[in-house]
Amino acid sequence: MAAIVAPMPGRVVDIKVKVGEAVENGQELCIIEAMKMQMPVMSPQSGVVREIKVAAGQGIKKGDVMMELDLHHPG
Amino acid sequence: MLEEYKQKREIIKQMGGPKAVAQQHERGSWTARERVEYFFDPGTFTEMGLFVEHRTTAFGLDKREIPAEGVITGFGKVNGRLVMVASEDYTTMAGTFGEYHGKKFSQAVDMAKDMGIPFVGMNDSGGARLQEGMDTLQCYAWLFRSQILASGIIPQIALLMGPCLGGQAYHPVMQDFVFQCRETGRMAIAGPAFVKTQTGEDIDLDTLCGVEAHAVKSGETHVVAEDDQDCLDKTKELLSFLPANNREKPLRQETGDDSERIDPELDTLVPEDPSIPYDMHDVIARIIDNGHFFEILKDFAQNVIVGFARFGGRPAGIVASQPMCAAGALDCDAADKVARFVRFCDLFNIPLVNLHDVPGYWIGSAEEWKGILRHGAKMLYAYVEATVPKITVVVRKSFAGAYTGMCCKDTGADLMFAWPIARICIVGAETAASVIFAREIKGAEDPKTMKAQRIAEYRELFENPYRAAERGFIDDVIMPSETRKHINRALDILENKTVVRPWRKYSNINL
Repeated sequence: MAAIVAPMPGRVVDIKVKVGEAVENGQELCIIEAMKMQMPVMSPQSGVVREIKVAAGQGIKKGDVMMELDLHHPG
Repeated sequence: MLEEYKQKREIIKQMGGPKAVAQQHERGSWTARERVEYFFDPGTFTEMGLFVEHRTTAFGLDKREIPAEGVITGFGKVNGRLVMVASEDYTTMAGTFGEYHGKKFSQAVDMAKDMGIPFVGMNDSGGARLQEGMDTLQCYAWLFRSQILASGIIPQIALLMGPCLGGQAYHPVMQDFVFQCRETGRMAIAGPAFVKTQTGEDIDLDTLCGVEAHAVKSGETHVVAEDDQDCLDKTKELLSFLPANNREKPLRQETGDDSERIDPELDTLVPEDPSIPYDMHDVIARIIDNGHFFEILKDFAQNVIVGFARFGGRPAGIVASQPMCAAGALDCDAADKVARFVRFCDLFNIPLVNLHDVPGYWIGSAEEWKGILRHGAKMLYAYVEATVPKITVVVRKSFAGAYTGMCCKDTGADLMFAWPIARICIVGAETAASVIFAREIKGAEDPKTMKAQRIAEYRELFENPYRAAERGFIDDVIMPSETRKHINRALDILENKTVVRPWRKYSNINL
């Protein structure tokens, strides 16, 4: 399992995936915004979205867990 | 007589003996002498103090031979230029730092300072030689003093090639650049055993003070090396960008890259929408000579990029926003990273090229309580006080305090350019409109439309490069494709820049 944490404080602008969805390494999971910049948050590995803990429009602090993924372990 | 001489030398050069040397190799490390041999141009190393011995009698040390006192010191040539080294020998009593070990080390720094040549410390030591008591503590004081008095006169580079714990950790960190070998270099004020007894914290050596700890978290390691060879290669590469001392300019080299080269790709590389991130490394690679960039603190405070490159063969320091990380906004760590780099470049006559895409300093409680104002101030001090040539290019955003903190014309830039997509202003339009027109928007029949209208007006009026250019705050709006040409022409005109200021002891920078 991998926790997707907020790399900076800000606001969630958009969630790009759904619970149960398979995601690839490097796929956009959500977009957060702060200091006039929209920052895509990418999946660190391929896996399946287990839980989404934030909603669009919600404020977040740096390090907040936004999603949890079940990772695919090749082999 | 000659036989005795040869034999004496040979014995000392065997360091701690075959068994200890084999152990050093098993750890994946070279010995102190192998490092020195690889580092210098063949046949150019001159050793000093080979026969130096300790004078300790306590705890049976009078019967203990410590070849070369566990540290090899001397000078030689690196790509034809003189450099002084002190290379600690872990095979000899674990490279412990005794009185004469410390004396050799600090005298090497003193000599490098007096002769005006760079100093490189190859650190690999078990720490203070406790059998020597007060003498070992005092020799740390010699070394700290020597290093600090040499700071700003000669470049000093510390290589963490083995353990550097306790006293051994202070002196590398005070040099200009710290390189750390991934598998073997460890630096900490105290090791895990001491941490456990004094604080109860249970932590292993790698987690406490490996590359992740210092290159990513503490920001004390500037360059990570894969092994001894990579570490020495990278050190030589860094030295190629630096002058021998603060009275010289860095060496200009022929790089074969046309200084007026136009790069049409740059005109479309950066998204016009200021909220879309991109990798500033792509811009840097296109404007410097042959894309050759030596990055410093690559893994720490990644919201700014600093490092060395050449323009028309001239070494320069680059400071650039990184919109891909934390919006490219400046936090406390980024400010520290920039300020120390700018001051290093200024000390050693290395021009600065600044690339802005910065929305401001980070706001909010987390950074406020860490002291963003005093950390941010370091950048202002560094840029205003620097007398080297300074050129700034606003790539896209340059707002608020960060516009001044990353070097605008009146905080130090000799020449300042902006790309046509640049937005240079006190704050962004949303913020400005919501303050200026707060009452009007609240009282409007349709507040949303009124707000949007006022934001658009403010943006139209101020979020562009032309208001700044009208006042002469920037010298020209340039095509992105011509950035390299303009930087090179600016470096030409600034080549013999002089600055005269009244005497003061030093400024009271917010340390």
